[in-house]
Amino acid sequence: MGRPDDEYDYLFKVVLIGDSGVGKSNLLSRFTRNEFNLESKSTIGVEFATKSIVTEGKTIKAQIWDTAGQERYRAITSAYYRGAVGALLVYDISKHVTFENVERWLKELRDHAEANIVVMLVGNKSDLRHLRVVSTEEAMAFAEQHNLAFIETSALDASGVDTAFQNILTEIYRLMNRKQMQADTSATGPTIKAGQKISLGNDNNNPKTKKKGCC
Amino acid sequence: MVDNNNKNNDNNKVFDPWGFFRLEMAWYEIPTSEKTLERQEALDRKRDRKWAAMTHHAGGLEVFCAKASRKKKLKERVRKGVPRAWRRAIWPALLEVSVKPERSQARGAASYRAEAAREGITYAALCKKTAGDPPRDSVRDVIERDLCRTYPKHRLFETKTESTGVASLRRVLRAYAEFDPQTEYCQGMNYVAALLIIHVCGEDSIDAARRSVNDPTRSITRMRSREHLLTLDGSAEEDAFWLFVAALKAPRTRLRDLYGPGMPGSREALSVFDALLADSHPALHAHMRRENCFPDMFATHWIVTVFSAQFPFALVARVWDQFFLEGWKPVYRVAVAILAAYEKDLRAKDFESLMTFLRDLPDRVDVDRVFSLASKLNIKTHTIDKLERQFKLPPDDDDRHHPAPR
Repeated sequence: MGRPDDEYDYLFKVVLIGDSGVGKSNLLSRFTRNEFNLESKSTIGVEFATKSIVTEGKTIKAQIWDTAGQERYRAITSAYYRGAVGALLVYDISKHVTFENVERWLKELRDHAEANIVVMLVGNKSDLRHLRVVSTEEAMAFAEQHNLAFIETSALDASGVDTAFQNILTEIYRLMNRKQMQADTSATGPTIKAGQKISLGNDNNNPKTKKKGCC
Repeated sequence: MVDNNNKNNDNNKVFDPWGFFRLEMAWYEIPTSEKTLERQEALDRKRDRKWAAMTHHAGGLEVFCAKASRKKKLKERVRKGVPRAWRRAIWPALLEVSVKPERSQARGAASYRAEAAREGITYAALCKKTAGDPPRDSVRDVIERDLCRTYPKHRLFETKTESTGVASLRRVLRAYAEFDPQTEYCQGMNYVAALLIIHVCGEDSIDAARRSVNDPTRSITRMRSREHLLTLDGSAEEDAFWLFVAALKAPRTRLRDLYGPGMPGSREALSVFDALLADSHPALHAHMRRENCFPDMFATHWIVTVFSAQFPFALVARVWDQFFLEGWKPVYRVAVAILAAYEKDLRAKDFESLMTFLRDLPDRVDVDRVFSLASKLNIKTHTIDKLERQFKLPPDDDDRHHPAPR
């Protein structure tokens, strides 16, 4: 018997990436603790939080890694992409350059993350309507072109935040389920047990080679 | 952004002796009761008198620091904690003291300032050159995004008011990026620069502490919010800048190694810390490793900012006292001691509980216990030297192919 938080069917590792100051840490605190801090501090290194959600009758625990945004920190933070099955790539709708840098972040994922990682493009600070410089259409077109999920959020007024996480976790779950069904042509194949870390990658990603943050 | 009237209209803000708001403080709440705080204040007063007598007897602070026969005494005194009001004068002085065993020449703020002056570089010129709106997607833009995210709960760095501390921090960080284009700016430098600005320029917090000390009815200071919009002394800001330069470049502290492209020094230091922990607390280290909990997951900010990002200033300032005199050894000792102080708790935790505990630890760390443990640790300079050589990375290794060592 564990605490309710410990009872889950699947554990997914998700990373939050994007330029500094786009609101990654506040998205994390809004989702996991329903908190927003106007006087937040810049993240040095990585931070970590978990939250469980229910989707399609299954409890999914998300283990979320929030990373420092400055390019220089990728030397430290890129190690955290390993084993991640999802990435929220965040930009600020009121700072166009943070949207332009999305391409660089995608390259970073291609270089360091699993090939099958589910990526969701997140336009944060949607409450700053009068300061908007990245239109929803522009971002949506970009997301379609690069085959990314897309959503706009405001960590400040909470809109879209739960949906963003719920959607990416559901998508990971479905993708994993499909892979699982393809792999187990019969019911005798290996099934994933509660608490086991799920990976969408291939063989080089078995638990033995995983070094980070899994249970 | 949403206006936060409650906070800004509050004319009765309460500060701790370090200048942080006492109300609604999460990060910086000094994790001791009022009583302990009063005890610490009394101790600070006692040490203040002691330092005054000591240095007077020697014929001044510089003479006191320079006299070889006093080195042991100086180290002893510094390890106990420099009285708050003395840091402004003592930090630059400590950096210039030659200590044994000396690994490299002592160099302080004055020598970097003089060297720059010989090349025609002055702080005023650097500021002038970097004034104005930051170019798009430039390093100054990155700096800009961190200014209001550096000690937002300190009276000098209040978010909403573009306070004098924020303006000073902007000038100091921009000037440094111009002064040292290879390092430019790395997140984390903002906390270090702000820490120095607070201690070198923020005389008001010392005054505040003095006033509270003189008022026996309370141990913390109340002030009207308008009063703390003071103008920082320009020459003090310049002093803070050159002390920042010295802290980054001096052979003893060499923070600059941490911040360059690829941050090789930061990754080396994390590896050294990991090895020292394995050596001194093998069972704790083994447990954390079994749980896949590695230092870079929780201690990156400990190292990159030398504790200044999240720990209470009661700890931060004491570490920096020793850092300026002895270099990295006391930093590693304190890092190991922080974990050692909670060994029993840590060894009972699984990965997620470890991460949560370590995330929240800066808020409630028992400062006295940590320093008491740190002083008993058997961590030797030559061990650190050996480990530093072992984990040495090339200077601008950008880590595309080999992530932090495991």
